[in-house]
Amino acid sequence: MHKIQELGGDDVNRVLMKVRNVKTYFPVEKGMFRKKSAMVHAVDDISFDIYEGETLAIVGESGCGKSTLGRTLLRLLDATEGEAYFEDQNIFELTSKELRQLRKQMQIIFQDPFASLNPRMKVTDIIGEPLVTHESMNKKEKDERVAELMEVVGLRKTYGNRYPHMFSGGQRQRIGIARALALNPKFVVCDEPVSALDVSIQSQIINLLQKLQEQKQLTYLFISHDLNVVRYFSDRIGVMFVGKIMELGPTNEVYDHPLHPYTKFLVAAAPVPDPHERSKEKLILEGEIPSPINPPSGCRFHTRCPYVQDRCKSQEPELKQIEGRMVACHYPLV
Amino acid sequence: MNDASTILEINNLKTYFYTDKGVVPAVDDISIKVKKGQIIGIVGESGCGKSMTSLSIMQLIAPPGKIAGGEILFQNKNLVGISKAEMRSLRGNELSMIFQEPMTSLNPVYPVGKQVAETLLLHNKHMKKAEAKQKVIEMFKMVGIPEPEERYRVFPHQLSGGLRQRVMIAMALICRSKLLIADEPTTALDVTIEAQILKLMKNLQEEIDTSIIMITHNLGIVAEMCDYVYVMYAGKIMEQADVYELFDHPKHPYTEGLLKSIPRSNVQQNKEKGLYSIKGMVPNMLNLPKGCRFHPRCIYAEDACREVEPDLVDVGEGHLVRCIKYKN
Repeated sequence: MHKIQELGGDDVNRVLMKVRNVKTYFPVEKGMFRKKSAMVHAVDDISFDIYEGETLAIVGESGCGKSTLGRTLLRLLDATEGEAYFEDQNIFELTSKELRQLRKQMQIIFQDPFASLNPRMKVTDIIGEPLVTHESMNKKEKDERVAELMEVVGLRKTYGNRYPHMFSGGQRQRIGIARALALNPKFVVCDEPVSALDVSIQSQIINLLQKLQEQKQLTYLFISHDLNVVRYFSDRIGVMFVGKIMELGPTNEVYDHPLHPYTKFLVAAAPVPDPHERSKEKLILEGEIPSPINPPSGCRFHTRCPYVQDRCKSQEPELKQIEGRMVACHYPLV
Repeated sequence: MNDASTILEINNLKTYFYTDKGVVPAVDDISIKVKKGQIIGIVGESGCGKSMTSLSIMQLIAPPGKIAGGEILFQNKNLVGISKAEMRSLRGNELSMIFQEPMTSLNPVYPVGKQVAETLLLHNKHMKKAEAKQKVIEMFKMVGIPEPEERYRVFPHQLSGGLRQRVMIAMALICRSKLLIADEPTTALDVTIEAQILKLMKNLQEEIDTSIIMITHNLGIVAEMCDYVYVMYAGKIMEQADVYELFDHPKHPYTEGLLKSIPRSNVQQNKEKGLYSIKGMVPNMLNLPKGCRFHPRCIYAEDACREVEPDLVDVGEGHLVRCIKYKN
């Protein structure tokens, strides 16, 4: 066992997962012989802890690596470097047999309820599949458990014989949640679970996720680009930009007093559903999101940062503890 | 038509789809008015008919869909039943549209500059190509495309989503349209890019004095951009009001529910009670509930709501509500 340093935590919360210096790179292949010409630095040296029972949100814009991070932590993608401990087991070193055991504890809910359910399978079989593969349950046990799960997520039991296309987006997302919960996991990665849903359905699913967390003491890694939902739903938030964590801390503090300039502009960019806020001068970030294939030198945000200094262009800031938070900026907004 | 400042007036528009399973009243008897320089919002969830309203205005409804009734008066001219040639001369010229997907609405095999210039050349028969190119480059500059000369020659796949949407806006505004319909213009974009595009649209609207119909499901965008808002549900307008009035004093239970169910990024919220949510889901358009279309999901529903469809009632100061609770 490695000696692991605690990161930005307190003694009260038990750490469920420790992520240390994780990198996930993808090769860019070019030409006829698929020569590897460059690397996409999707997740680039990320470290943090996830506490038991909390919701840690990872926010960021498209291509920042948030989904890759979630999938790497479940080992649905292979990390290039680094370590990730789930209750003291380094999941990157597990054999496929050990990994199978661990999969019972770690599950995922996907964004697109239309693409993540097999259209040829009945709902009972979709929800029951993990029970058959992992628990080798017989039909009767399986049917009982599936019926119970369907009730928990608010689906009528009589729907079991239907196929996914017969359901609306919200109901499909309930099926996906039931499948994720079938094995009583401890840790669930929610990858944009409500982004494809309408406003009135979105709040139903958020409430369901919240209820399930309380009942089953689940720990969520909640990946989202929706800053309104994240503020409501998460306990802590990590802000990612081109493969790096820029700021990580308690949600309300990060929203109300962002220390990293990117966080400040990201939070300000979300349209607020209140016309009276209109009179306030809106902070708008110029420029485009840089490419993760060839990220800018120094601080990755320096090409867009309105407070940029010379040092930011050459020297990459480390993630440091400031005011009980982790911030990667040479000149934090204290 | 009464008011000279009214640029678009939709009266009792019905757009129906005649499918094998029955008639879908996608847009069911709606009336909308847009004044010069005004930004109108149409909000609602998927399937409520907001996009079909915009396609009806543009005369882009394809079979089995059909405009089954009503009129669309654009500068006093009824667009319903207009000839294809006449519509073509308006479309892209006086009346233009931005779609949600900047990836699929540009032609992948032509340089973007050429595509924008085409709009200009089509509507100005005597314009020279070089002049059109110059105008496009100016427009690219105006919508904030960096290095406009170089970007004139690139293909859509070489641009990011934000830049493609800027190209679409440039194309929509190059002929200085009187009315711009923006159908979820920023839904496919990242938040920081969305903020840029919204600011750009607002600036252009002030500069060119274009009227905008903003179609969106995002109440944040409505609050930030629009002057007057229509809330649609299952093909009908449920409520319409000035933006401040609508957010401060929503009258229809559906609007009230929608506003209550969105989490807000600018304030800390109490998580203990859970988020407010509207129960159930949108009705099947082939089999609409009797009476008020919202009654199966409404917390205030009474017996009368299950029987009679309420009228859109004026409750004063341009605020209209379709709910039995309100009477003239």
